[in-house]
Amino acid sequence: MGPGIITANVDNDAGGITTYSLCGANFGYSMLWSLIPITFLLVLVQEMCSRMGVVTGKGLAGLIREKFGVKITFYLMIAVLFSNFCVVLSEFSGIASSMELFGVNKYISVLLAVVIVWSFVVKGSYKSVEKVFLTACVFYIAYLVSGFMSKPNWGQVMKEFVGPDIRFETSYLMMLVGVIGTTITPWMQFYLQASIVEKGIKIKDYAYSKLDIIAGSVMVNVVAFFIIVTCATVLFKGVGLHPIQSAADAAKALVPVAGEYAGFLFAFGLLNASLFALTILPLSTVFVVCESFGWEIGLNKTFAEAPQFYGLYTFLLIFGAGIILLPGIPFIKIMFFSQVINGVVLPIVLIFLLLLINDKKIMGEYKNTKLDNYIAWPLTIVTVILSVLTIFTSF
Amino acid sequence: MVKIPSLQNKNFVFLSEIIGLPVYDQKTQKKIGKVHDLSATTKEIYPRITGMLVHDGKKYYFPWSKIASIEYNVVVVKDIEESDIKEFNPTDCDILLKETFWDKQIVNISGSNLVRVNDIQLLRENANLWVAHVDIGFRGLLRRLGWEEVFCSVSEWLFAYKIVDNLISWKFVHPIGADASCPPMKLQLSHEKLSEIHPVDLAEILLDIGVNERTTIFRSMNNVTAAKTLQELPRKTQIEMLEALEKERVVNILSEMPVDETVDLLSEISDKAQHSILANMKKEKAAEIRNLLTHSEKIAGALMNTDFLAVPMGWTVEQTLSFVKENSKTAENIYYIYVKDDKESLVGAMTIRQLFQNEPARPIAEIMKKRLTKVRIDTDRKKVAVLFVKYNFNVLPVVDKQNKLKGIITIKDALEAAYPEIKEDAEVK
Repeated sequence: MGPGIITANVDNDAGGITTYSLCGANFGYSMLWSLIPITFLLVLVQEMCSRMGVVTGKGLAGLIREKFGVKITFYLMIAVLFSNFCVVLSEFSGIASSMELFGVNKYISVLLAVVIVWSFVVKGSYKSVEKVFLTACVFYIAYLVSGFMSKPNWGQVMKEFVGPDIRFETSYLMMLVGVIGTTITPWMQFYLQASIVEKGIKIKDYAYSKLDIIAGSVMVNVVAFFIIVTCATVLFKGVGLHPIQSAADAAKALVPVAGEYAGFLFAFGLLNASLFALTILPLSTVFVVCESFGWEIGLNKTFAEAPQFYGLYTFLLIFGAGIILLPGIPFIKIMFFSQVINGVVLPIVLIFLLLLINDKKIMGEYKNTKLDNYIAWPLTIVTVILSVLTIFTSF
Repeated sequence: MVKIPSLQNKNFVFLSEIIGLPVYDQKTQKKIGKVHDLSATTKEIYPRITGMLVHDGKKYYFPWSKIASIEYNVVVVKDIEESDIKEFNPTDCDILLKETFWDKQIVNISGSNLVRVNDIQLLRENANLWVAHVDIGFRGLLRRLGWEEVFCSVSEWLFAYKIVDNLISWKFVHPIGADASCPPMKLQLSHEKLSEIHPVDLAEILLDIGVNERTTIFRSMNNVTAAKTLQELPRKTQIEMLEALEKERVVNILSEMPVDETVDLLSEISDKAQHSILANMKKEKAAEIRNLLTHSEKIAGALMNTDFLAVPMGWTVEQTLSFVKENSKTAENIYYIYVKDDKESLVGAMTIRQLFQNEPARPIAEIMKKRLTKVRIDTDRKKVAVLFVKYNFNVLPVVDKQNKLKGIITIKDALEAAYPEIKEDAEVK
């Protein structure tokens, strides 16, 4: 079990589960095919990040600063900070909305989440926290169970899964962008590379890392597959109808159709995913920012030794929770907004990633092969186009 | 003669204030480009600026003697020739300041940590510029971003808080990765600098920097510092370091390490590498290590160190004291001195305190303690650790079946053996 699998599981966060639920409920099985190319893309991007981590032993932000200078890095960090903050918001809304299904008021659940995350991260040792995370991954089985309990028509599912069915309608394309955007995120590239560096993986052990990444990427998409299947089976009523607004709605709607347990499992999965992501995401964001500006990093330092590190971390967590606690804040809009921002920042990070990994000075003999580039550049351009599309259609 | 550069008549200028300035030809009064970088020689204690790179489609490199003046916001160059259009060729320990330092990490000797360079402060002395400080502060960051004035005046006006420069003297700077090809003089200087940092901190720094930088810095350490630092690294990184170095260097570093640590390390590398290292070591040491390597990891023999002090029973206090003095450099522990009889059997021990408190002429047989707690070489290591905890020992002697003294175990060795997890945690944070 390695960084690839952890990253993958953080990837299925509140925003992810919401998007997959909406995708299934609004478009049925018709988008299942996209999970195959998405898995492929995810492996490609993550492989580049981890290769860079193994070869250089440095984080992505540090490499960007060293190659592109302070100005570009500064503005990029602002963008990353903002997009990650939005993700933090969406995790908090995931916690609030799933706990509401269990009858817990958001003021209690969000504050409790802050306390749990804080004590996990600041008080627990890194190793024990990681073990907790890995155990938490098992809970994603909840979605597989929900999937089977909803009794889908497997023949139909398989047919749609292997046969692409692309429709050139705005709503369909938007949903597609959402699914891609929530699966391949900017923060994930920084996080994965940092964990690879932290583990000190050597180039001769790189084959295992690759395997770890492939396993993780497949896992993300298996979970996504079952969420889409569950929601499509239970909720899909025809194109153009929008039976639900959020993942919490999906869990609620599952109860009368697939039974109480399926609904609870679904809600519990959402809670677990949000909490998991919330433990890793703000921390990794602060690591990235501090790394690029050369500020002291580390949970084993005191506040006085690493003021920026703790300051920024506190800000992300407390300010994020504060916004969610505002009365009448619309969770679903926050999640959607967070995805749009992520979608816009993603291609920028991808471009930096590709420029770095093609630099012979940095990567030496391990720089991208021609084949890597022939696949990676067009895909990056596609994400640029998709994110531009998202901006224009969402405002 | 070269006119004194007078950038706002300041004694100190920042590199960021020079980079990007327009450059003019003194003769034609025409603009030829912008300052791209400065070169400096690291041969002296403080690097002296030796030239200027100017870019404008074409690339120029002017030696410092051709710079007529650096007035406020303008650089004027004299005697420009065709031959000045060239790439910068680093010779004689020249480095490019911007390329080497801006945005890169350095080791801050005074803080024992890694920091990222925001800017460089240069000192003006007559016609020369010298690198004096490295700027790692927030103000330097703002200056590079072009927000220094706005931000600082707002902060002062709003909060009455003055953002000050956070500078490190060049004395306390060890550049990373830049000086691999430099002649010994510079390297010697860095040696001394790095050895001022505690090995534990050095190990932490090594773990925090990139893969290539790690080997460069490790290579630039002297043998003693390298040996001390190596002991503090996790096993994986230790092996990585040894693999990156030449055979002779590895042997030299390992010779500075305590025997038991060397054995631990060698037991985890391939047999082939082990043999080639041992073949290059001094005969006695290699034999000792080979012998220790044969012990199972689980028993006392694998923990012990063979650099102990033992003297014959017939000696006097005076003889023993001078023996201790002679061997104080190599012995792992000089507080306990062991006594053996003609058959090499362990018969007693004394402390250095006892030696100091007794008459020089007194035979040691009279003052030594005869009843000793000792461990057999095949004792389980867990039992050894229990003994330490139970009796509060610092050091225990190790004997074989015939009661011959074979080595000593310190509490540190026992602790590490009994709690490998603790060791891991302390090494890798």
